[in-house]
Amino acid sequence: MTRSGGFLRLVAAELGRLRSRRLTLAAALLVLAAVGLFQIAVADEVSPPSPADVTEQRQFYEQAHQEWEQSHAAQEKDCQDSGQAPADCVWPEPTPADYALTATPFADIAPAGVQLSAYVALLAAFGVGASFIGAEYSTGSLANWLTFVPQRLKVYGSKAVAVALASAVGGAVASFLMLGLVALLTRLNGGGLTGLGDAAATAGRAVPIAVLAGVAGFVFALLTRHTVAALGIALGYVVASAVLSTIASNADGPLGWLPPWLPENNVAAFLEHGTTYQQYVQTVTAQGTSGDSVEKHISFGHSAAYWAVLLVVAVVSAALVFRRRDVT
Amino acid sequence: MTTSAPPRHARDPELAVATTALRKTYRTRKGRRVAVEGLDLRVPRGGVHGFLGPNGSGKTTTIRMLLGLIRPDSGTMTLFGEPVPARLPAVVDRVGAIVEQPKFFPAFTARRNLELLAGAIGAPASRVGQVLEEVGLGERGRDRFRSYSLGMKQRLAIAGTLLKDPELLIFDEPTNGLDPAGIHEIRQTMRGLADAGRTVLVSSHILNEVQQVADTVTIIGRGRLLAEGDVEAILARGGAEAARVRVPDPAAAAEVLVAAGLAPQPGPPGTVLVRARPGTGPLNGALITRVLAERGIYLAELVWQRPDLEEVFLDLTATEHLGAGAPHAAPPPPLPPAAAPRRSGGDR
Repeated sequence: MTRSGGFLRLVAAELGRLRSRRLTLAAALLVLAAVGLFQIAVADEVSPPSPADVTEQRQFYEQAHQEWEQSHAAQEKDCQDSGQAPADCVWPEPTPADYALTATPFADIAPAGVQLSAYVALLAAFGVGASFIGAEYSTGSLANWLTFVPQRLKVYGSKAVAVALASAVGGAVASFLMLGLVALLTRLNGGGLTGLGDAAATAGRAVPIAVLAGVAGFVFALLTRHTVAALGIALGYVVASAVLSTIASNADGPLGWLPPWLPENNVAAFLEHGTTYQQYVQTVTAQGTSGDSVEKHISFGHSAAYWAVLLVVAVVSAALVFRRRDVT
Repeated sequence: MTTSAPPRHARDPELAVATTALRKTYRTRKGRRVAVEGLDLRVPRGGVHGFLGPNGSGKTTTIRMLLGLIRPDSGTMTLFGEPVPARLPAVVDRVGAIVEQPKFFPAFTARRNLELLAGAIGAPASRVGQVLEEVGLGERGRDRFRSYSLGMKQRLAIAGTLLKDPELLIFDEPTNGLDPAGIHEIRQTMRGLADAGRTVLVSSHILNEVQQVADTVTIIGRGRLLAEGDVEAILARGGAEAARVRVPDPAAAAEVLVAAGLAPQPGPPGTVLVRARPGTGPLNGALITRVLAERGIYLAELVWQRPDLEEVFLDLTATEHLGAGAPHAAPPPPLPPAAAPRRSGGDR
């Protein structure tokens, strides 16, 4: 006689199904391809310049300096004659340092790479999470599964945990593989690894972001019963956010309060351990109206709390729906 | 949904399945549609139990409620005396079910689909190969589910239910879309499972198919119980058996048969349909032959005609088709009179 319902056994079965899915394989390949392709750019950035490149840059410098010598006095005079302040009309003299080729430091390129891999993993996890439950609804196999394991919350929990674990693994592999390869290429080209700790911390924060994305895809598809509907929600948001961001860019506008609550800003704040955004602020004086761009900050703590609350609300809401929903 | 305990009879350990006053409605744009209305279902342990009714009569809805897939509005249900869905986890290992079409992951092989189910319920991996062999899919186990014919999908679904070695198997319209060979195969499988000591609950709207394997039946219409009991008892409600007699002069033969205490009726051209009069015992073929021969009327043919489940079913559910607009609260139609003309008959 069998015994249904062992939670860990269910999680193992769900992980087995995830592993067998072609979409999981496709998502993994997508992430690896993104990481691999980025290394082509990294190899170019971290390698020292070739003699030919140095010669070419020297020629560029000489051309620029020659042009400056011939024209800067006349240009500056024209500028001042047009009413501009002298300080605003200075054409600085080109220097050899302006045209020197140097390898991009690890501290600059590693965070960019890790963030790229984090966003690719985010997309992949969302798709995998959505199709994982969406396929069960579309094939009807969820009903079949429930005739074997009727405990709804256990079934829900096992699927959600499997998606979360797979997303975590995917996010970790993507981020740390990216970091490792960038570090390796930097070292092979004689560069230092200054900033490795910060980059590793960013890679670590990419893991919960991937988990959030996977669970979000899972919850959307569970609530809508369709993979495509979940993807539609995500795409719809991408379109809507472009409009919302534009409106919200005016601090005095009706949506001026919105930027700290936009998901994309909170992803960035979590990933980058705090982020900034620009808003336009109008100032009305006796002389008229003037506008300035103001930089505002979203803290890591704000984004962490934001995602924690959203995660709990989404997971609990979906569980309550799934517990009572008719499955046909 | 009700929270009351199942009534005593529903906890009868001799019953594999019992429902009492089961009700389920669905919301539609035109209001609530009643799918199951106060259904009392009793399925004894052992044998094949046919669960019959026209399309849309509530069979699948009832099965889904029993399996916890959908929630009843009210009423009680038990499986092996355990109230469900509250105690479903306690008995689910004793129940295997195929609801409507077999539903597996199309891109996975048959074996992989069963491995996942086996993993979920803690069945040993070796059991997968065994059940595939049992249903004759041993050599096709590594083919993708989507490449299977409908018959193979049904067999795979049966294999899935056998992973649990269940005492009760629930098949919902298992022969839909199958060719005659597939239907025969499924029928044999159901009979074999019952003969091995299991209880098989099979829902169908194809009556003759069920009559050939069922020991007991429940007939429902519009979600309500119309008849239940042994197949023989249900058939008896369809009227007495008859003999169709082909003779040169049917009118003369009818006079002779009336004089002999029988009840002849005009049959198809050149024939007389003969029944025993009520209260005179079973129809005697030898008597028919003898009395006609004594008057010089010699039979060209004598065919036994017996009411079948389909006729009984059609009589019981006639109002389901004729009274489509009738309110659900109407009482169930009365059983037809025993002497009602038969629509068809099986030869013997």
